[in-house]
Amino acid sequence: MLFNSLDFAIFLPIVFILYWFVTNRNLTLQNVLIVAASYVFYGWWDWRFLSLIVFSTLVDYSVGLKLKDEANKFKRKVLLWVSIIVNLGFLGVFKYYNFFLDSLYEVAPGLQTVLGFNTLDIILPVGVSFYTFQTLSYTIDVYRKKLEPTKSLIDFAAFVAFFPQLVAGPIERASHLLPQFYAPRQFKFINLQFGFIRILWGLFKKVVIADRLAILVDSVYQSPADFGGIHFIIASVLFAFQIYCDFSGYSDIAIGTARLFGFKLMENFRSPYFSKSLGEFWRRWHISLSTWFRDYVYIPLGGSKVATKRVYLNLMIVFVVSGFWHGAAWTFIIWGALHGSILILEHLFTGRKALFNNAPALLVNTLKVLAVFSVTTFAWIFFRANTTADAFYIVQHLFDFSEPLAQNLRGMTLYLGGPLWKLLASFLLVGLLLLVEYSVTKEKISEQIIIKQKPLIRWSLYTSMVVFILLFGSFEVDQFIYFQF
Amino acid sequence: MTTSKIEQRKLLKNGLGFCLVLCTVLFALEFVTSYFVKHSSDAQTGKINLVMQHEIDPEIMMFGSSVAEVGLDANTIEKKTQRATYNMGIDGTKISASEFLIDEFLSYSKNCETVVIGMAFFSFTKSEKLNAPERFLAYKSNPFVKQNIFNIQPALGNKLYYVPFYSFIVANHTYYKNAFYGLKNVMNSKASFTDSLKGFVPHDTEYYDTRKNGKQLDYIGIDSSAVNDYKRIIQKIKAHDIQPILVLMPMHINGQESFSNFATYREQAKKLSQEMEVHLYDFFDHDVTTQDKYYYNNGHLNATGANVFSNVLADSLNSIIKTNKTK
Repeated sequence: MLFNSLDFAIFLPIVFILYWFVTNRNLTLQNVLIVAASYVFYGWWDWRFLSLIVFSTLVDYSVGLKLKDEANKFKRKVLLWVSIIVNLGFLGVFKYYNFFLDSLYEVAPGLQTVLGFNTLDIILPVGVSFYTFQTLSYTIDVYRKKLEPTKSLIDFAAFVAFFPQLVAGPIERASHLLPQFYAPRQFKFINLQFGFIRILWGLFKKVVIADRLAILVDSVYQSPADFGGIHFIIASVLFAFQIYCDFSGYSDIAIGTARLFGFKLMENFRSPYFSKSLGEFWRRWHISLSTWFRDYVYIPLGGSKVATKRVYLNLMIVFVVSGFWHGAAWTFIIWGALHGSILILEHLFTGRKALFNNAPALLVNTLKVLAVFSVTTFAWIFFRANTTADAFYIVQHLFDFSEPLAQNLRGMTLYLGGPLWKLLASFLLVGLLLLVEYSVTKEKISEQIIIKQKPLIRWSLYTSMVVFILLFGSFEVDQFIYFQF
Repeated sequence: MTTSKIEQRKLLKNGLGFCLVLCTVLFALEFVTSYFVKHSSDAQTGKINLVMQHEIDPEIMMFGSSVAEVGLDANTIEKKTQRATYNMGIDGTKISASEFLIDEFLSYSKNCETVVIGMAFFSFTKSEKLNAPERFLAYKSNPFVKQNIFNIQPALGNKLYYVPFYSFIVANHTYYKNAFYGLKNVMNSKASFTDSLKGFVPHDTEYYDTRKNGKQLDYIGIDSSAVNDYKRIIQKIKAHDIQPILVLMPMHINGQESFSNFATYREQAKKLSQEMEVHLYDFFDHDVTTQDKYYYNNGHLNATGANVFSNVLADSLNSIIKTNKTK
């Protein structure tokens, strides 16, 4: 079930009413309702997917309980590996099997006849990369004795399948989310207001900005050979905002929806395009995944407490794995490697005497922000391109300005079947987004500030948002980008 | 009273209040936009408005998709046949999706003698989705429109008629653009839409061969439900004592040759005309089809081609109309 679908618009109020008006006196019942609702939400795509999530839940729940009673180090390790193999096994089969086989046969075509393995005709279960990481974090934390395993299967199932963040995060840590299922929850009107504002803002980002930009971006990336340098630059810049609005929009809706039910999810984005370094970008972009990789891959590899060369290797490993997590394709691996390489370069130059020591801070900061944005946008080319060949074609022709700008722009909009104002409107939307994001970072706008306003102002604002979404939203795109991961 | 109860009351009070405000605003907006769309004179919407508001009643009415819209010069036909003519071709629209227009037109027409249906190669293919439903959104309360939507896309019909404000999801910028044009017309007190070309949309561009590399041949699907749509519509037209005429709009020879079973489509049209006892004009072998200067792509005539072809068609129509008069 998609957040921007009619199904969800009917589903959410029903669950909300049952949760606060029918099961509100019994915590267990509330959690049972969450599990049931989450399974309906997930099974809406394909009920067969449910078997995976149920199996994963049962395995990690049992492993967690066994780990609590097991003192033997070897046996504890075996239990941990059972969980890792099951969860990563799902990913391996559903997400990576075909990729590995295809890559292997491409390198050595003769192997296909020798091995006799064929690619599988399977579809990737929605959100499998997200919930497997969430359950893995539970088992690893229990193994590390940082977390008491839960005795309640219902609570654990609710933690694994919690529908607001089930298919595209934020990837919650058990230590943060699980205890919220133990505690009684009281209906607070302020939570509803907070949740409602976040949902509206998330929907705005998704259907008004991301899906509008998608129309322009897709046309260029679907057939790069028909376009030139200026088109690639515009499409890539717009894609940077499209993916941000698509994904952070999802996170906003997830956080807002969870809040309606009295849960607080972690923030997943903090205006990443205002970052002044790539390191800072990764502390602001997809925070739940970045911190997951930091805690469960980077630090176990030694983190930054090892020799410098090893630190760089660790960084590279983390980013290549992160790229691979995003998708079973070389484009994602290159995207991850690019980020890893640039981050290493950034580390190398950290502490060196700055070039513009005497320049005004505002100018320096603006240049830094632009530099980081340019680097991330360049890397997005690999993330968005359909094939590595397409990505390299775009990179090669990125600065091919053989035709005058005006002609290029007209050509682009003509190809898209629309007038130039559509392109300008896209940039206006991006400008609006940046303005709001900037105001949020400067604490000029926040949910709290809106909630404190008089009802007339609040209601006018909410109504305007709804009307704006309905009038300017694009309801043709029926997917969130991050679902494919 | 417990804190929870107080909070729940707050929710009910604020929630209901806000819902009331929101619903009022959305209802007003829905009403106002549809009101202005009905006053738009722009392109397809303008043409639809003319029929839905009973503002035209020609003697020869022509329906069809874009091939009819750009290929039938109403003024040329009117001049030659000496009968008021209008081109009600709507691009991207199969005859089944125009059924509400035909129904509405038949319900009020007093002058119409002949309905020409301009057919394209996809006329008998299966259709499960309405193209550009925003075009008739303003008339969703019209029973013909409702029936048409439910016939073609029941899922959309259920949402549009039973989910409040779903029309906002269906509406797109074309719809709002038309609302804006309608507003301008209302402000300028434009009484009605004057269309000197009578629904004809000439294209003055050079020929471009749209075949896919010329290698892979496409296949034209023939679907019995699409054939039945034609039968039903023909019967309706006949029931109003109006003569239906089927016209296989001339397609460029390159276009014809890009299909592996083009003959099947022609045979099916012939079978339909024989079964329903209606005139069929098949112009696929006409000289026009071999000359690039008459087309802007493989399926569509350009302005010159439309003029030449409309003269040919008018001659053919004249012979039938005269026959009728003799009768």
